[in-house]
Amino acid sequence: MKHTIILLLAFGLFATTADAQCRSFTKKNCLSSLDGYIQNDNYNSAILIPGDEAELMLTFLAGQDYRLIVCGHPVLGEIAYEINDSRGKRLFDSSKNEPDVNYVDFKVETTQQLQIHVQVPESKAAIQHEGCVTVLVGSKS
Amino acid sequence: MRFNQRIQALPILIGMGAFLATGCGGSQDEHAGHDHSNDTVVVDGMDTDGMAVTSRQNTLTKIFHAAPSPMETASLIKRSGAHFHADALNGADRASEYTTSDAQAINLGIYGADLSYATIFEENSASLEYLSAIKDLAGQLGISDVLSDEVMAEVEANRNDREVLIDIVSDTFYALNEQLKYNGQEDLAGLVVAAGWVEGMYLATRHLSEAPQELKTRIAEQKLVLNDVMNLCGSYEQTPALTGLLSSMQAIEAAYGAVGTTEGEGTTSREESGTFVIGGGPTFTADDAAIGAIASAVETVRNGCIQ
Repeated sequence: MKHTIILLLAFGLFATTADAQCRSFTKKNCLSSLDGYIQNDNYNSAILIPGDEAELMLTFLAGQDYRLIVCGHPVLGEIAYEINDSRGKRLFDSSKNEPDVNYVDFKVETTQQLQIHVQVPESKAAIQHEGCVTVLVGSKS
Repeated sequence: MRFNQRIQALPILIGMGAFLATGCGGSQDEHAGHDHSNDTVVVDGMDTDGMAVTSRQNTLTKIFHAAPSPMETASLIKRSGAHFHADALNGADRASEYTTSDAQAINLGIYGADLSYATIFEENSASLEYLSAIKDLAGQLGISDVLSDEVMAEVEANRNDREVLIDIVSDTFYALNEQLKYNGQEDLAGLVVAAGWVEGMYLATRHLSEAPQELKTRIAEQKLVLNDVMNLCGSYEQTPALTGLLSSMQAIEAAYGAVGTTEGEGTTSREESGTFVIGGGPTFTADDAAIGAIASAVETVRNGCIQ
């Protein structure tokens, strides 16, 4: 029992510290890419490893210009992301449409929910790293 | 935050494994294998740039949740041709009436929407009053850092600059959401988001008799945003206050049942500026009775929030 409590406290400390590192990573490396846009209020960041995926479903409003940023630690390689409609049809693929930048500017003709799908590339390296990945959405009208 | 069912137990095992691998309070030298540069500091396994060697073997799918901000709602209200109605706002002088953390979080969301509305409509003196009320509530919730004296001074210095105020407000609510999550108070973050959406809808649905048709269409489209809000808040730990607010919002969901949706085939094109345009998607239809029922349900929930 005592060991369990110690382990849980230890995990809590680790998780808090890792979360703090992702907050710091996001502030330092990602937020400036949203200059000129109003950032969405929701903070979405996680520690991912090669092969991990992430998903975000969000409503985008007609009449707004959006910037979507998928900001990952360079150790994870080039993170791919797609935008799919609510029925799963792929509307944007970063690896084909915007391979050199980690953001895409877009707008929607009608208000709709879109699914953002993020894929961390696999790695064959002997030592696998984990890193922060943050998904940011900004808008302007 | 919610992980898929298949990996729900994984983070705990990973966290423990990673912690045990890195040790408690270990020095930087104990973290062999990190390819960090000399100017970074390793803290409990992860460097300041957000990277570490992982002990995790199995991949996972992380599910993020989000919802449009009150600033976006306020912006669409203005774009649709609606007018500013000061009488619809919850008085900023009522902040001291909210004495529990749940009530403070709920009214942080309410005031956030009021602040966004006032700022978008360039009612700058009202914006300053709401920022001050938000600073008070944030302080009582232990997150006063999000509206420091420096930020308030910047607000004062730019009180007539709408764009600067919008930036400050959006930065503040992003920081507030981040801080509450970091503090392990996701339930309070959920109350802020849910109440903020309710207040934004309350402001959008005042004076419907003089509302332009475009505003009614925008109100109907909020059916999707309500879905975002419910999913986001449902992903947080359910406290009695959050459960209570989400339960009360089911009446709004029911009213939205009368909004019709027609799906269109999604398309993508690109403008010369480089901006992608996503076409197709759903169209929404709602008659005046449906919009009226939504307004009534929203008003009931909102009035419960500001008590």
